[in-house]
Formats: sequence, C-alpha cells, structure tokens
Amino acid sequence: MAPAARSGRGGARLPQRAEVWKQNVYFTISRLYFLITMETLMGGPLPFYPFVYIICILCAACCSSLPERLPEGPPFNLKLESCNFQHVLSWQAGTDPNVTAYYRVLYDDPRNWIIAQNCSYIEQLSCNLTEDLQNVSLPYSVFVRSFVGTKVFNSSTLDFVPVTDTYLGPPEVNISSCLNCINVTIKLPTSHLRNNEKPVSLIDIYKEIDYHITLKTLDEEHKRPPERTTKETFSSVIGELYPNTNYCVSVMVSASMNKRSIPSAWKCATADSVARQGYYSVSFAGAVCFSLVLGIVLKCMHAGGYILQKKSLPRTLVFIGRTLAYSPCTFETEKIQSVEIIYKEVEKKAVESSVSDEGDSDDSDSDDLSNHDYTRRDIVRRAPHSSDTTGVFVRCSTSSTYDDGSSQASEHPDDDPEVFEENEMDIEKDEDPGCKLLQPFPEENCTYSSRSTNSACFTINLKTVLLGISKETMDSSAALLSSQDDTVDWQHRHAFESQLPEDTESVQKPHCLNNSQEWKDSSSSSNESDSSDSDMDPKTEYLRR
Amino acid sequence: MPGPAAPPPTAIHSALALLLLLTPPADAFSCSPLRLHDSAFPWDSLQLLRDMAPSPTQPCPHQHAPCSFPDTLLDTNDTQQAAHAALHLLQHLFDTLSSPSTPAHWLHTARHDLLNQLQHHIHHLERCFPADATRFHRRGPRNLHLGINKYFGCIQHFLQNHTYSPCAWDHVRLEAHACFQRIHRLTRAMR
Repeated sequence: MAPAARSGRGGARLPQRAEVWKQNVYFTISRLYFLITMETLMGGPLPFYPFVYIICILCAACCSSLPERLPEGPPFNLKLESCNFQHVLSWQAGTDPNVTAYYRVLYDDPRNWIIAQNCSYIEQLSCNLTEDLQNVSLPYSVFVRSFVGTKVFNSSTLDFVPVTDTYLGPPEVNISSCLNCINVTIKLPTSHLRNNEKPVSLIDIYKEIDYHITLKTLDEEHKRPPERTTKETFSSVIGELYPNTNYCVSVMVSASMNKRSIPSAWKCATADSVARQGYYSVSFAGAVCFSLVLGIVLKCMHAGGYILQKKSLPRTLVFIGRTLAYSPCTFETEKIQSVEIIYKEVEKKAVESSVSDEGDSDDSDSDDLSNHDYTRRDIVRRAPHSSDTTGVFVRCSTSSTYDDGSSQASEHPDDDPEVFEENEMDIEKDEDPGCKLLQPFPEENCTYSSRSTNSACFTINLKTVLLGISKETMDSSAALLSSQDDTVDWQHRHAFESQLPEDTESVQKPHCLNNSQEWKDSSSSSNESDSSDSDMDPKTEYLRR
Repeated sequence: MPGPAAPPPTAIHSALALLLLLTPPADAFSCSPLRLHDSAFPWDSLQLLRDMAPSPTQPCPHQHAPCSFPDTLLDTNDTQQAAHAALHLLQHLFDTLSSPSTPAHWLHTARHDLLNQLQHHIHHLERCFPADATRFHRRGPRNLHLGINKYFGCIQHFLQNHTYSPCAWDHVRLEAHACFQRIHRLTRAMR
C-alpha cells in the first residue's frame, strides 16, 4: 500500500477532548482533597469537611463510571494514498460508530467545489478520486462532509498536487546473465491517468524518468548513479562483475518533479563466466556433430543393405508376379511327387507321325505317341490336382502327361485312342474358360494315357529326377539307333513314365509358370506354338520334337 | 640543410575558418545545459516549501486569488527565452518569500534553505547571459515579462487585501508550488 500523501491539515482528535475533561475533573478533586487534609492537620474547623470528602469521592466514582462517548464531530485524519496516479482518500469518522453517518467528498476546482464521482453519499470511509483529479499539475484541495442525522460536519482540507505527491513504482524488472555482467530490463509502471479514455504514460507526464539501480551481493550493497530514460521499456547492462557470483538488483524510478518512488522487489542472477559461456556453445556443437555422424552411419548402413532392405525381385519374376497379380487364376501349392523316369525307345513310326502332323493333328500324334511312348514337350511338371479344388485351372502348355496308365497304353495301343479321347474330353471339362486367353497353346492338349479324368499334364520336381539308363534299355536303344536311316533328326528325349499316386486324379499345369517369353508369344498365335514346340526350350532344357 | 617547411597557405586559411566557426558570437546564449543533479532543483524546492509552510492551526476558508499566470510563456522552444523567463520567475519568488510579513508559524530554517536555493539558481542563470542582457527583453513584438510582473503584482495585492493573514499566505504557498512547476518546465525547454 502506497504511503499516504499529506494528511489533513488542522484536524483535531475529538476523542481527546473527553480525556482532557476527565483529567481536569480528577485534578480538581485531588486539589480539594489536598486542601482538606492540610486544614485538618493544621487543626482547622472540621464539621463540614466530612461532607466535602463524601462529595469528592462520589464525584470521582461518577467520573470513572462514565462511558467514553465520542462527541459528534466532522471527519478527521484525512489521508490520500496515491500510487501511479491512482488516488484513494480515506478518513476517520467523527461520530460514534453505532450511529449511521453518510459522507460526501469534495475537491477544489480552481473556481468551484466539485463533488467527487461515486462519493456523493456513501457510508464507507474511503473514496477513489482517480477519475476526478485529472489535472496533474493543479494543486487540489479536498475535504469530507459528513451527514449525521440532521447535522452536517466538514472536515479540514487536504492539499494534493498529483504530479508531485503521487508515488511512482514499482517498475517491472527482469534480469539475465551475461559474461561477467548482468542485463537488467526495466518496464515503467502503468499510469492510471486517462486522457479521453486513452492511457497516459509516465513518460507523457514527466517527459523524462530517472531510474536508480541498487546492486546487492552477500557482502555489500551498492547504489549505482541514476540514469535517465525516455522510453517505457529499456535495459541496462551492469558490467565488470565477478563471474559465478550471485547479484541481486532493485530498481526505483523517479522524476525531477517527483522523487517519491516505490522500489521493486529484489531480482537475483549469477554473472556468467567464460567456461559457462563456452559450455553452451560446445554442447550445441557437439550435438550437431553427433547428429551428422549418426545420419552418415545410418545412410551407409542403408546403402550396404544392413537396414531397411528393400528386396526387389528380378525383372523376370517382377513381370511374372505382376502377371500373376492380374491373373484371375489361383493356384494350389504344388505337391512334389517322386517319379521314376524310364527312358524308352521311341519307335520310328510314332516319331514320323508326330513330326508330320501339326496343329490339329497333334491330338492324333499324341495319341500315337501315347500308345508307345511319350514325348515331353516344353515344361514338364506335375501338379497333383485335388478333387475339391475350386480354383481356376490353367491348361497345360505341353502335350505330355504321364501317369500310371502310360505303361498300360503302350502295352495296349489299341485302347489308347479311346483313352486319349476320353482324357481329352476330361481335359476340356477341367478347363477353366477364363484361362483360355492365357494359354499359349490353347488348342493343345496334353497327351497322356492316364485314367485320370482331369489330368493332362503333370509337374515333376527336377531335383528329384534321377536319370539313368538300364543296361537292357541301352542295348535296345543302341540297336534302334543304329538301324535308323531316317534323315529326321532326332533329339533325345526323356520319355518316362511316372508313377502317380492313386489319389491323384488330375494333373494341372499352372499356365502362369511358363516363362515370360512364351507368355508373350501365346497371345499372338496358337498355331505357332506347334513350331515352337519343336525348339529346345532354353528355360527348361527339354528337348522337343 | 634545408630549413623547416613553412605551412602551406591553404592550411592557414582552414585553421582560421575553423576558429571562426568554433568561436561563439558575442550575443550567443552560452548557458550550459543543467546537469542531472541540478534537475533536482524543482523537487528540492517543493520539499523545502512543504517543510517551511505547515498547515495553519485554524482551518482556512476556501478562497481564490484572481491572479492568472501567462501560460503562453511556457510554450516556447527558444532556449534563451525560456532561460530568461525562468530567471524572472525565480527572482519574483525570492522577493515574495523573503518578505518580512511572512507568517510566524512558518519554519525559519526551511525558509532560509529555500531562499538560499533560489539564490543559487538565480546566480547560475544570470551567468548564462552577457552583461548587456537588457537587449533580450526587447525580443519580439510583446514584452512577455510584463505578464510575469502583473501576476506577482496581483499576488501582492491579495496579501495586502487579506492583511497578510496565515490563510492568505497559505494560498500564496500554493501559487509558489505552481511556479516551481513552471520553472521546471522552462528548464526542460532550455536543453
């Protein structure tokens, strides 16, 4: 709370009057008592003195028992507390608190007395005069009028000049550390003065403000020379300080016309040293370097494939994978079957018939072949087909299929055509119409002599194929070859028959597993597939005829 | 052996020109700006005035002196005119407060200190003006200092009309308080 300005001038303490009166009464009684005593001792007449004694005692008793009743009077002890041009007038009541009194505050305009706003008829013993005393340079006179019943009392006047009598401060102070110094940032207190509802700052009033900085350490306190400013917010650097030492700062602001100020609270900081300054820079540099090194290491590891490996398929597989992705066909997992490949001697007649006929005659060729032997064309695989498979079946590209019935077919060639036709029809049944477009050899049917209704091809895991020629076979083959006079070039083929498991009824050849080259060519022509059959498939290393 | 070379004529001319520029004219205002501690004069004077003149024992009736100060003198950017006006104000204040008819309840010590301070600043300002300072009174079409004379004359009449009563002097104290504020404003204009 701001200290009070000049208090009320000439205001007497009315409660003291009662005290003075009582003291006078006691003094008179004591004097009478003294005189009576002296007369008694000197042997004077005594008959009426006892009555005087009794009267004096009664009077003293009456005075002591009288309640201290304050006589009614005007307000007194006026105090005007002003801080940053916020003025609050307070006073003491001149009447008994039990008696209700109303108050009115008036201040002196140079020519007239004006009733203060919001203080026209109040019961409290204070009044805010901030809005009333707007002329900062004018010497105002203020007094309080009290209304007690029908009585009116006026207090003494209080003189107040806002520009010189208001207290300034405390300012806002912030401090920060620097190298062997501290930086003090000061913001002037906000003035409560308004000019047409616009705030008026202390700089606007005083034009210049002086600020005094007091520096304190554990040992001593030092008041720095005052400095002057014309800004609302400013800073001052206190240098030449001892590093790593705690300093506290307090700031007072004043003006040339007004030295009444309220100091700010102490703010403390420690002056930085070189090491501390360097510590921050070194830490920052170290963090940056560490981040760079870590990034380089991660990049190298990523380039070396140690982290975040992006496994990419070869182009061929990518294409196949892409094609499969769009393929409406689904495939079942192949079951690897072990087969026994038996090389058989190919009869000349069957070979010739198979070579001369092409296209649609492939069926008959294959029929002939099935009677005697098998020529495997293209890729020979075997994919056992389960009976409950609902997936799309892709037709085989080759015309070879092998099963248990192959040996039987060779033994009974007459039955083979029927078997083949039957099987061919079965193949057609198993064929998924949707896959036809994907077939490189749509017209081709796999030749097989199997009893299976659905199998036209089979898949063989080459890794399990054991190639071998029995002695008997070799002898017969050698004899056969030596007797051949055909100009037709033979390409050795691996005719074999496989022994199928009984539960396998059909063999499906996944169309999508053909090489990409064949896949591309399949769409162009189906007839061409026959010619390609005669070529050696580089992918599978199978010979064709 | 060759002797020392004589300065070239251009250097001499430059030195002379420099001396002429630096030499202030005879009628120039040579009063140095008041230093920081001198700016405390208004505040110190006000404190002494407050200490010197306590409130009268009897409450004074509200009264107004019909004296008005020429505030136009305060709105000046001319440092010489501001200094002259401040000097005139100080001189009148000294004459008024040093009157032998000041009230008895005023404190003699504080009054003595205030009068000393007034005299100090009067002497400081008088040194700022050359000997023939009367020429400054004739600057401009109007004699602005007549307004100051009229103002203090009004105050003297007020005191006389109220028989130099304590309440009249209390009112004069308020006027002196306002005069110190005006001096501060004129001192700021002198910078």
